[in-house]
Amino acid sequence: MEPGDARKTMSQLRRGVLEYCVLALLRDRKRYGVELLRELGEVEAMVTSEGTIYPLLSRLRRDALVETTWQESSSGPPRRYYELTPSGARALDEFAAAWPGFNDAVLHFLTKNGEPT
Amino acid sequence: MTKDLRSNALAEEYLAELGRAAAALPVNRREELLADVRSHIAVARAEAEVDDDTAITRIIGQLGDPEVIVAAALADLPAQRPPLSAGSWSMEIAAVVLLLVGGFLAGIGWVVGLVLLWSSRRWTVGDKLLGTLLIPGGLVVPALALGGALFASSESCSSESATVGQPEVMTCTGGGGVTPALGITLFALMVIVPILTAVHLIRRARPKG
Repeated sequence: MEPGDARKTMSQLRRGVLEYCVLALLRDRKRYGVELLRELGEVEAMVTSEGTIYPLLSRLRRDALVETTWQESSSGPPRRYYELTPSGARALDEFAAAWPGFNDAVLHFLTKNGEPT
Repeated sequence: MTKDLRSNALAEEYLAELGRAAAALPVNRREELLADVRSHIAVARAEAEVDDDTAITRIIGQLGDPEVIVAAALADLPAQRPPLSAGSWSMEIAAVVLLLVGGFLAGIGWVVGLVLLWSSRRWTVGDKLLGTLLIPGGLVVPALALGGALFASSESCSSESATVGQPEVMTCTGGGGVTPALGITLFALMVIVPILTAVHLIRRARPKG
């Protein structure tokens, strides 16, 4: 394994998990891109290049996990709002149910033999 | 109060760069991405406390390198696969060799060659069908046919010679019930067609560049 592999793996993991974080942010209400990025930006290291969220949102829309609507705003240009669809909500529920076990399993191996993470 | 969102040179330059980077995307993806990012810049400018070049530079900086954004979009394309490496086509060579002569290894070699043929990404389905249908058993088929013909003809010869009082029966090639010319042609085809197919497959699988 080369030294760069861990960083590459983290980048792939982050991207895989990020879409569920986006779905989770849409659980209660619809949001627009800049708003989503503001929320994601509050947690360190979740999004490094903000622009990459748009291909991700486009894929979620094509997979019918979210749907979008353009809405006029009282302040500035119209916003493209993203809203969870029923299948998006199901995907989020499935992920939310599976993640803790996955997280525990990874931690189990990482901390085995008392080694620090 | 709606801010005056004048077109900004920095923003336009960034969007043009993104457009160039996104040339590799299908047209609808490219247009959606450009519209989304343009809208992002407009919204972020409207929500910024001050709308000046410093703010726009910050917004663009946070959006990130256009190449990185396009790479993320490319990763989502359904048919997108890592490019075939220029080298390492040993599996394809093994497949063709096994298809040709693997039949001599109790037939198993040919089956392994078939599996390799179908698991390779260097051949189209058409190539794979060709390899499967035109090299069934590879050269083992003509070899068996040749062996069979020799065996049959020697058999018929000995039986003819054993027949007493029938001197007019002279031919001993009638074992398979085919004339010599037709037999040789069929045999040649059974040898040449698999070899031509093998050459075709090798040419198709050869790494480019």
